[in-house]
Amino acid sequence: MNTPQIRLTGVSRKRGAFTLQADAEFGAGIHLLTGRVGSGKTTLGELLAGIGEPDFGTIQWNGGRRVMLLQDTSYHISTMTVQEEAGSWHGDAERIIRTAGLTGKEHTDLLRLSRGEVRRLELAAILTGQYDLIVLDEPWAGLDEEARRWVRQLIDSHAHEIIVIISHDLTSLPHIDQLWEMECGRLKQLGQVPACLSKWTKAPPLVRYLLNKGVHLSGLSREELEEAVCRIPG
Amino acid sequence: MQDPRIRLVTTILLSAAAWISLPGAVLSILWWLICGKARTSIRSIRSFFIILIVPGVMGLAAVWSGEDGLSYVVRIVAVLIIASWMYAERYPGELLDVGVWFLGTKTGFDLGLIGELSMSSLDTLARETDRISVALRQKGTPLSLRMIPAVFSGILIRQLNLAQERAILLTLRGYTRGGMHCPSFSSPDIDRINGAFSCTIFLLSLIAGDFFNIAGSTFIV
Repeated sequence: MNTPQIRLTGVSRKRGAFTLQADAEFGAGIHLLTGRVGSGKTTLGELLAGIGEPDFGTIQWNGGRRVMLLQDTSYHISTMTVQEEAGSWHGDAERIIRTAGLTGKEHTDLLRLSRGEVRRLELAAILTGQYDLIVLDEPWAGLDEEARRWVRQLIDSHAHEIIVIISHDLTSLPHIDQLWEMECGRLKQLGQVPACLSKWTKAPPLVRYLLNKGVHLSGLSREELEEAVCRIPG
Repeated sequence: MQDPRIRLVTTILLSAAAWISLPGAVLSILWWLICGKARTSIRSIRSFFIILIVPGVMGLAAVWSGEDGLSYVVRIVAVLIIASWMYAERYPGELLDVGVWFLGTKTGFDLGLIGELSMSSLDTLARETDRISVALRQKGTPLSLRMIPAVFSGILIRQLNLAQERAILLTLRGYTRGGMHCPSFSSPDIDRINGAFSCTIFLLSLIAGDFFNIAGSTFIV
């Protein structure tokens, strides 16, 4: 199988006073893109997903080009019931429903589902599908802890694709391979996790606290962070 | 055109001129090409033709019933072009500026606020339509009539949620009626000249449209 790879060369996109700039290479694995609100994370995700073109520079693909972008609302919904919606993804509808934990609700109107249930259905359809690049923009929005754990497990089983997670919430992450930071529109590759964590100057408070305590972090996933907390000396 | 007051008056005058007579419609389109620098919020020819479907059908119906359907279509096209020019030129907050300048900090503020909220809802709607279209394309599901209830109910629910969030925000900020706002405008000479042209087109359209000829009595000859 051809390993997917995306190369951004001299990419820039200007919108008013804001300019996004990126030179990067995304290979198979799970990438975390962090940064402040308005720093350009979503814009980069949209460029990667092929929504809009950069003003300058090129985005080159190696391997397949099946792309899926999940944003914070249910833009993908095109039918009225759970069964119809699972079927509309051209995959194994039963598997999607089972993965989403909606067995028994096949004929339920989507409007009667909670926001979290709709989110689970979308995520199950995306993560059981065949894509080369999946961009998940704030995938944990509207999900309870149990559903977050379920998403983590589902993402963890997708190491052969490029998965880019854009998130502020760093307490529910799956295993992360590469860490990226967006700062005032400029994309920076921090490196491979966990090696890059010690030089992560803008790490979230929990990670900073653990690093200051001298605890070695083996990764950024929820389980890895919990394990690190247990190893705090004293 | 930088001054929203002149732009608003120009839009009203040119729309009226386009509606009153066919020469007014043609002159309005010419004004848009020359003075409006052909700016439009319609992003593709395809979108333009989609917008024209309903007026086109109405025009055909008019021709079929013996009326001047072509004139109707040209006038509607001119009105749509002027509206799209105005939408493309607008900047956030201008309706509040114009409302307060024109009607003060109570009624003007309220009307301006309603206008701004409506315009921003239109922006959201346009953005959502784009996103939905991309999402369905990525999903591999071509847009069909069967999808309309699902897609539109989603849009409706998100718009209602947005309206609720805004209402809560306004309530939290203590909004009851009116508010303080100090509008400022930039009015370059070119805006005034272009505005004056639109007045001329309006008057020419009134004359060409025989507007002053009421019940056989000519008011202007």
